[in-house]
Amino acid sequence: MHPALSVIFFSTLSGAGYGLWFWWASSFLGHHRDFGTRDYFTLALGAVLVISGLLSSTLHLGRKERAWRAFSQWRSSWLSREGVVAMLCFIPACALVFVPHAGMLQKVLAVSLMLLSMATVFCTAKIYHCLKTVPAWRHSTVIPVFLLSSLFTGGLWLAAIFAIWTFAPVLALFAMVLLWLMTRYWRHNDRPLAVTRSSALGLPEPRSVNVFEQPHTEANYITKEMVHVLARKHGERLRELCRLLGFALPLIACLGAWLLHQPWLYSVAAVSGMLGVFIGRWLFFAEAKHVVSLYY
Amino acid sequence: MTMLPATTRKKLGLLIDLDICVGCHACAVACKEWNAGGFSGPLPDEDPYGAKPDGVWFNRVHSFELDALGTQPASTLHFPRSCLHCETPACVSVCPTGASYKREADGIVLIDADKCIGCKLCSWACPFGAREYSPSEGVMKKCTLCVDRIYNEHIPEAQRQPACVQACPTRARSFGDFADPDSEVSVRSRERDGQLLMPELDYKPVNRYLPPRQKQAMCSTAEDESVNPSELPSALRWLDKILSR
Repeated sequence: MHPALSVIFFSTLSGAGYGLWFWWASSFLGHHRDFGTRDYFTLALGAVLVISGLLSSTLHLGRKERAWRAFSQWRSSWLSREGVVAMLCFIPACALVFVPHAGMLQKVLAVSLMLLSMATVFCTAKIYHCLKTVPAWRHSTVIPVFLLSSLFTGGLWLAAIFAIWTFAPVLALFAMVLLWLMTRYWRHNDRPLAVTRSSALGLPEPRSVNVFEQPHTEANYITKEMVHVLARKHGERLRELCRLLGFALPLIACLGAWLLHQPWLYSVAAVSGMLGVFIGRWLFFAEAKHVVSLYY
Repeated sequence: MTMLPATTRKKLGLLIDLDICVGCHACAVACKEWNAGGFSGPLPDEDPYGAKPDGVWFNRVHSFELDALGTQPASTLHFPRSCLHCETPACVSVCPTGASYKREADGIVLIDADKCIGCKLCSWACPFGAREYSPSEGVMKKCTLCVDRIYNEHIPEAQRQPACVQACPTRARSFGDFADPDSEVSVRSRERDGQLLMPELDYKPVNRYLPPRQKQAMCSTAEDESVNPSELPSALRWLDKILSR
């Protein structure tokens, strides 16, 4: 698949923003506390990540001025549902600004922000997971990877802002689970397509079929968008980079921050984790095989 | 709404005979010509006379070579690929704006170009590469089954069929209603074991493809010089016997 940078930026940035909002909102459930400067900063950083992601997702649209129409088909389309839930998140997020004192209302708003944030990331994952045309994306790890990546990167940012020592083991656990899930997904992705060319051509018995002549001499929309082959050349190298930047380095940095009481190490972990997740997301698109490639 | 109709009154579609298609691309050219205007027009080309011409086509003809299998000799296979107007088209249900829809009356899958935002997700959801993006208009385009021909009362009745069907010089393409079990396309599809493409994905395509007929068993090739005397006429068998001494 063609890895559209706008979509990769969207899912990485917004994912981190929603994850940050989730953890931040959850902090109001445990203890009774009022807003401090860091709370406003966290809320704003989440908003910057989410909004820049949402804006970048509209960059690849052919008709940006009609983007509002995408809120209409929530009954059938995961993309539409994602748009609706992404907008709904702003209601509790904005309302929380006006409820800085601990209380029941604050807790209710916090819980709604947590639920809506994760619902948005779930919808994003479902957009890809529901496509039967890209068999790799049907794998059971796709939705957990989207959700956990969001919680992982968001958690790194929260730890960086609040310098929470006790959060390090949780983040380390997330890094390890994510690494395991990603490895399982990659192994699944490396398998050849289950659909055969004979099935794509309507041949009743499986035959060995080779391309003799293509319908067009130059690349067309279908080959440029769906028959992308660049990634598989450098796939192994990029996977290593994703493991290193996304998980190994943040893991070490978190443990360092925890044991040495050096909160700035969390920021290193957050930036590195985001880069790793970005590479992982690029591979998610670039390496995925679409069944239309059977015709080419 | 991009909700799919539970069932459609008609199931209009194409029956494509892969046994007689010669891969001449006449259907693709006629399609491009007709659809450059009317319901789906324009069908723009990028850099049409330059080094890398590119453009929107609803119909693409692929050519494949089939290796020999058992008694079946190796052969070429020409395969026209276009929208199959599926009964459960995911391209419609993934559309976030309601621009894509499947008509309850005849099952044709269409795009409302005034609502499309060009997010391209429908093209990702189609296993058959039937939807293409028009960069100059910023919207998606697809086969309309020549909806502006088949109901067009301004053209003679005999011409009220898709441009690709009309243009095919070998009559490899026919158009009809697959919901009617007695229609010509339904009957021929039944007789020749008409195939669905990628049935495992469960898109339930309406269009059917008739697979190539069984060829005669391979005859001996030029390199193969062995002779079976029992197959020869008696005079030649006698001659073979004399000369073989």
